[in-house]
Amino acid sequence: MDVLIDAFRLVLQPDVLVTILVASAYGLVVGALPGLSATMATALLVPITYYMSPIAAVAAIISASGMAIFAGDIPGCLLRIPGTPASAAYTDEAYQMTRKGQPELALGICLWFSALGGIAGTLALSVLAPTLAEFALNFSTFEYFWLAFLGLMCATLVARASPIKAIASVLLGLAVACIGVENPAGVARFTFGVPDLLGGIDVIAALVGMFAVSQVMRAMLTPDPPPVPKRKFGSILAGQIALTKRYPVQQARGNVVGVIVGALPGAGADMAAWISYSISKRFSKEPKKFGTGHPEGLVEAGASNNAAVASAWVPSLIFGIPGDTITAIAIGVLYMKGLNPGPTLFTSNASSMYAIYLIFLLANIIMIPLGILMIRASAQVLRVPRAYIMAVVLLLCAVGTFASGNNLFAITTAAAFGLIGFVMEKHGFPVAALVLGIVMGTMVEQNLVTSLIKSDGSILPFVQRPVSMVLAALTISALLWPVAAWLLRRARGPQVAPQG
Amino acid sequence: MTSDRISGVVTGLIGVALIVGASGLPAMPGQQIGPSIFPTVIGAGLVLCGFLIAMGVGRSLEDEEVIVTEGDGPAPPPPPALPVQVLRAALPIALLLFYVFTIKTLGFLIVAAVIVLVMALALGARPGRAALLALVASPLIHFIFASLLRVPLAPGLLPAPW
Repeated sequence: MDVLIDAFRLVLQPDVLVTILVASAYGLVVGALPGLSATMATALLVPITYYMSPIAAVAAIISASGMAIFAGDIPGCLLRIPGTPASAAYTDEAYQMTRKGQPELALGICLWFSALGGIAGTLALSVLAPTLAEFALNFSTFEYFWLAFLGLMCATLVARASPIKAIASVLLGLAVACIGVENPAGVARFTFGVPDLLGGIDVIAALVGMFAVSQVMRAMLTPDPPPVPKRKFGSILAGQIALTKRYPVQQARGNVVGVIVGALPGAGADMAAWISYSISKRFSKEPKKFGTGHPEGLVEAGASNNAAVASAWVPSLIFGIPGDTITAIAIGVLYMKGLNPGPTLFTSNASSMYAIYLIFLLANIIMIPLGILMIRASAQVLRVPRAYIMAVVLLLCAVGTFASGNNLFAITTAAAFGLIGFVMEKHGFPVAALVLGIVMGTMVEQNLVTSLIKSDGSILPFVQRPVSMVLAALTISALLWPVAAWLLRRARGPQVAPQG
Repeated sequence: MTSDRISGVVTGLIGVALIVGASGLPAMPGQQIGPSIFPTVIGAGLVLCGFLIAMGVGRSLEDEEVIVTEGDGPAPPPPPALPVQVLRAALPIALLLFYVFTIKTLGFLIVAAVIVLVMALALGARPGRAALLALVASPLIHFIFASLLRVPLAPGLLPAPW
């Protein structure tokens, strides 16, 4: 109980409350702008969190990312351009509702079920995290190695790209993580004599490069999105209670799937939305209506992606293994603020943990009023020409990466990774998998090398402990799954058309 | 597909470079597990992946490009020629490098204004508005980062008056 009171005291600081409000507004605006994703919003926010108290920094990340995921639905619904990848699964459905003259209902569903999904995800986080943490206290380097490996494999499974290219992306990320002296032997690797590379690649600069700079590069090649037609919105929340009563199963299923997908290391909100939308279609009584502006799939997918945003913090807080690209950034911030992820976080820093839950709840509650304001303002916000936005974003990329270490080399890094991200995306390599590789490289190597030294170079101890055996089996099946799918497809004969 | 050939070969070459680079790393005395093992494993994986990609394996599992088209709007203009595209895509990178190399001499206010102006013009903003944006955005961001967050942004030729 004392811990909870402490947590309230931590959250109710004026600086934390102001941060939540400002970061929420920032997340809503950035998420609503087409082409600026939730990950980009979070990455550009990190340099500013250097200057905040630990709880305020975490609050900024949580509120900005959650709001950005919701706000991504707004341009999807009004323009058929998903603001963030997490909205892409149901953009067509929402847009069809707008064409049928129900934009209020569509946006209302996105907002209402996002907020409820976020709260469900938070409850799952607060129940799952301590239980798992207790379990994780017994983990040795063998288990951590498999867990990190499993996370990387999940990232390749869910990438919606060629699995081989996804694995290649992960490996490239791990290779990037090899740069510098941060390895068990403390030897300078792949620094090419550049002293700036001794400390390794600055993860924030790489993230800003891959998610912001490459997006600006893409904007240079694509035509301007169409302007939003001016319209007056009716009541946003009208009809939501009726929908909640009409689709309780869909909502609950969306929440549960979102929590599970989010809690998997390496899989995040966008995957949760895709999976939930297809589950909803498969089990629906009226699947023919999907794609024509039917609220059912929207309810389920909207309930799912925001639940995943919260539960993605479970593996991040307990194992330091990110659930998605947003938590990959958040882990960096946690380390920087002395809230090192790990199963002991609950004993050493219990009040901070409760504070994180409270921030999640608070952010999802104020999402409803702020979201309504944002929807009403969307016609104005979406009218700001892209030329202005992208010009300022590029400047922020430069200043932000510089501010993260007062080091000009970070800007060069961001530029280099902007190019890498741009080229990789052009060739169908998933960038998110590369990011997870970079973030987890040091951890994978540390646990691999320590385990190998403990076992004297033998592979056997990697699969001798029961938990590590299960994790190993999961990892290897994740690795072999694409091969099995491929063989199955071949066995069925060449007449099977490629999946759409 | 040729794009896959190229990216597969490049992936494989990166793998080879990792293995070669790792072989030159010093061993840890008295240990058979040294700093070279991890890069070597990754390099081998990359060579294998590169080979498979070049052979076109897994191509059928790739999602088709989602083409976002606006149903009611006019058709988008045809894309410009390839060299123009490359130059346009390279502009943000060039501007970031411009920042790195000129910030100490020119100072933040000038460099920032140039970046915003050039980017806005390149994306088709009207010249007057782009100039106005540059004149507002540069001092505003300077104020947020230098005055509020105490980031040491170089003053250069034009120190900020605050």
